[in-house]
Amino acid sequence: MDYVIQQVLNAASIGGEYALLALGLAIVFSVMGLVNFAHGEIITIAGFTMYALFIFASPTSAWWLLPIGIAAAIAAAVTFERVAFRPVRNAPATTGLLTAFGVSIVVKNFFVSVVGATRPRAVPTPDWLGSQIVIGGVHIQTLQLLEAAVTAIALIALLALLRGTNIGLAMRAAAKDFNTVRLMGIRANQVVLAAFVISGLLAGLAAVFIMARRGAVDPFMGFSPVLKAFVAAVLGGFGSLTGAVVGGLALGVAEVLFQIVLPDKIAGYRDAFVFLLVGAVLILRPQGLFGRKYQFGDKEG
Amino acid sequence: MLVVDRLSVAYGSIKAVREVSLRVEKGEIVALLGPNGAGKTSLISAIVGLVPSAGGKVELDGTDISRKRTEDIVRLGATVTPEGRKIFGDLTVGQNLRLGAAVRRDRDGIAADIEQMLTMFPILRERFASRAQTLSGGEQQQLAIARSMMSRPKLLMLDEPSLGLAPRLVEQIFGLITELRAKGLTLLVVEQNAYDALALADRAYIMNSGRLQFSGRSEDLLASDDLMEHYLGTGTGGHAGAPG
Ligand SMILES: Nc1ncnc2c1ncn2[C@@H]1O[C@H](COP(=O)(O)OP(=O)(O)OP(=O)(O)O)[C@@H](O)[C@H]1O
Ligand SMILES: [Mg+2]
Repeated sequence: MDYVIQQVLNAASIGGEYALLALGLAIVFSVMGLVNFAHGEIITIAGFTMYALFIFASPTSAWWLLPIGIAAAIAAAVTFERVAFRPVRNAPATTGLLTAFGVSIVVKNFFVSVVGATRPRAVPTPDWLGSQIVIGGVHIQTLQLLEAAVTAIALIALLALLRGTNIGLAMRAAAKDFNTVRLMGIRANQVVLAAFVISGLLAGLAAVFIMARRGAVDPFMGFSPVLKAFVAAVLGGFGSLTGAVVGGLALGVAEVLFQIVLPDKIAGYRDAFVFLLVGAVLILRPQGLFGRKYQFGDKEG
Repeated sequence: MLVVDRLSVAYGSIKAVREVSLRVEKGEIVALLGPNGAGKTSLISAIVGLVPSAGGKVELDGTDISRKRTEDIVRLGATVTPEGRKIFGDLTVGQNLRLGAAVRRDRDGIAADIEQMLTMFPILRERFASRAQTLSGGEQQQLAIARSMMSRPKLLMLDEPSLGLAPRLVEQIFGLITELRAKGLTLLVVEQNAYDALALADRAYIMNSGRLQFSGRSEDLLASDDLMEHYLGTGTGGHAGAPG
């Protein structure tokens, strides 16, 4: 029993992390048609900000690293938009894609050459994150429980925003038809900004959990999680918010399942098996599980 | 209210609008007529800044809006109900109306205006919580107009409001346009339905191949079969743009 619950939580926490990242990609894509390849660098920036805070400010409690890390992620996403993506907003989609590649390369190289962070640097996390708690006789990792809970809360909050606020409704409408949204007097810049703030916030949450698990930063730390998030988003149907969440969770479950069933000898090829499975799903459903292009969150059926 | 001075629109090498000038006075209904591809949609899109102009000037109540963003032009009181309705299909009828009022902060006023729209368009009250894409074409057109009204525009530009509607609905929409004018709105109506539009409008402009070909009083146009035939290709007794 212990084992089953632990594995379920394991899948939920990994899947939740992918879902947070995939959602950020999906929101930006549906609102402005941009495939943000620099999404991973938001995580890296959040990580290094926590590292810098730890080194230079030596806060008395590691607690402080969390909100600052999230704030840094939002600031990074907003800065990317303002500096790099806004000037090419009306350019063809490939221009946006190349711009995102450019941002990604610039940020990585900044940390490699300017900060000189070629080896991973350790960052402490609050002790209790690594602890276990016992609920009903089952040992549960605090970090995993927290990760699953935060993901769930973030998703519910996002849903409420998209259904109940003007900016949320405007984002959903803009996913289909930005010009008509502007005809309502709604500022395009605000809608795009909201999309990046949300994607930054979600990436920041993911970054905190990634840091808590790794306990270290390096310039390429954003690559692997965001690669998985891309796979999750494509699996769910790129641009679909429901798809991003389902795709992320499905990927988490698949990873945990392969981890369990694969014999030790080939356990190292877990990701290859996962991608093979995703590939098989995409052959059957090329548009992804929930794929209708540009479709937003709460569509029926 | 609206002064358009030698406005041009180009898409690459395609010149869609060539130095068109027109005026709409406060309280008027003005018809903008012309065949497919004449440049009508391009002209009003340029007026509200949805497409860049390739020259010329637009003034709204004496303010130069030629270089302003669409969002700001709408906030100044001029808006477009776009061709093909463009309602937000994934959102409910109520949410569409709410977004129409997104620039306003007067909660009570917004609620009162929604109530007024629901009285004017009873079908929208009935379907208030339905997703807008489940509405019929005519219902969507009503929603599109109601949504435009929610921003309390001074000048409303309707792009082919009768497109694809059954005659009875066309009549209803045109009746509504007269009603809106009575409420103090100024209207520029783009139409292919020349006869119906002229019956409604004080004045008319006719475009063809991006150029303004005629401007004058609707009565004069309607009274002259020659003019109708020449500019609209609709001879004696024809109706609703059917070739004479
Ligand atoms: N986005 C665009 N890109 C390139 N050409 C365009 C674009 N929009 C319109 N055009 C061209 O500009 C010309 C004018 O088009 P416009 O839509 O303004 O005409 P219209 O008078 O509104 O026609 P209709 O009555 O069919 O709506 C046409 O030749 C059209 O093909
Ligand atoms: Mg048109």
